[in-house]
Amino acid sequence: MNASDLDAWFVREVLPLEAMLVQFLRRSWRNRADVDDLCQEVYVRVYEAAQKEIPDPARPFVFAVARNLIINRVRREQIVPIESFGDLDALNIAADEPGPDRNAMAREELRRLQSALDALPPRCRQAVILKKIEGLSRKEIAQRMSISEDTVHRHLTEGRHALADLLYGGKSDPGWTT
Amino acid sequence: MDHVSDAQHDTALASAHAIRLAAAEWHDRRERDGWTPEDDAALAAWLAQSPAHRVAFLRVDAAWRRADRFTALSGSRRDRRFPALIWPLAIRISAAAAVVAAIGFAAAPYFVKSPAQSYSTTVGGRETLALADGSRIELNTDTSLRVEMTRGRRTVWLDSGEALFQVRHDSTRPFVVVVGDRRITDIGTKFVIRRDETRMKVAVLEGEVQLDGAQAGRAPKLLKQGDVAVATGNTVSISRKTQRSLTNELGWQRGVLVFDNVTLAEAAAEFNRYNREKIVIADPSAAQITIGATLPQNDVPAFVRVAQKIFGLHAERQGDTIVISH
Repeated sequence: MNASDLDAWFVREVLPLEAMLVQFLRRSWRNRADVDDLCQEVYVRVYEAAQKEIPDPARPFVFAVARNLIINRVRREQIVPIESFGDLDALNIAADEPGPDRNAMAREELRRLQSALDALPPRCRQAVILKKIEGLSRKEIAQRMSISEDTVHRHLTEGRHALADLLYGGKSDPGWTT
Repeated sequence: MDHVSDAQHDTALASAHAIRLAAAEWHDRRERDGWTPEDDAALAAWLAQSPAHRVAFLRVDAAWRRADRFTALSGSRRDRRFPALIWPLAIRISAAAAVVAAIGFAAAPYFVKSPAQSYSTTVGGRETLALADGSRIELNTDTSLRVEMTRGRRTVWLDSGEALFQVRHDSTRPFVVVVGDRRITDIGTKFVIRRDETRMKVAVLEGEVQLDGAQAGRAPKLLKQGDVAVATGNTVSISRKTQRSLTNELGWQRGVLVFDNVTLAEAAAEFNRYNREKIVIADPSAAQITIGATLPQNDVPAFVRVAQKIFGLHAERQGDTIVISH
């Protein structure tokens, strides 16, 4: 298993679980402010484990790691989570049912991209549109928006950061269902 | 997972937010002018510092790539299938500028006055367009085309790549596909056209089409179901194919490539249309091996495994290229 195969596996199998994982962590952990950190910690543990051996299928493994993490935290901090882990099994059952047809998936992806884009702050969205759709250079974006290239860099950094949260964390789309 | 390792992780992962932001910053900075080999080394060091850094970078990189679909969106944004896709800012971009941006045309924007809508797919992509007249166009990998619907005429320019057309016939409103200096006119039909740098291929799955040649005065050719015309320069050759072989060629609709007794070189060339990673068959004797297989079109590792395990060939990665040899 070389590094690029591992990375490709992570992107393909683990990242798409993020919306579900975040939902699980929110239900299982009292403090919502910790959820991003917990999610990241799950990722690190999954990634480290996968360096030795790729867990297949990925989904049960990712949620087992998440559950162990929560249990250890609970023990250590002597607190009781708000809800039990009862919904974990429900999450696993839905593992590999036949998906919707390709057209529907493509439409869903476009809809998701659209709502992610709409959710960006206005200036940041404009910079992303000029870059991604119009294919302008940074210099041209700076001229078009009457800002410096450093500010273009700030907007695009923010855009990348927000898009990752919106596209993977499902933050624009809280109504996630199977 | 004991307390010690938990504690270590906690320190390393003080704030996922900060790490994700840093990853986004690196990701964008990498594209700026003045990125040096030293910067590259600094990024590599940052990535190596913690798996948390690495996964955050992977995540932002994957999201940014997914957003490549925005290009497809820009072509589709006024498509009737997506009534909700109104772009608050993008909508102000003139149609002409959008055409220029989407097809990467080097001409000045004022030069392009066509009201045509352009659509494109990236390498490995596939999109279906449902046109207002009930016709459908399915775009295969790395394909660009433009559609213009007027009252008396439906015109599609296939600028590059491959597309399957299912045309709702209307004799008062011809459906014409323009490929370079050739034109294909529908006569009640399902057909697929592929355009490479040097040649064009039309395969008729149902019904008939008329193929008009490059030069005036030449009689148009009528292609019937099962006919495959290949046009190179000024010559056109027509052959008849079986239903099975036509179905094989349309494997891409299902996301697979069907190889039936083709050489490894041809199979590699097909794979390379769909993937950023490119396969190169380095020696001529390996290139001539013939294979029969059905493989997912994005599964480069599967292709490499076939070469290694079945034909005992050697595979070596060089950046984005996989070199296969004896």
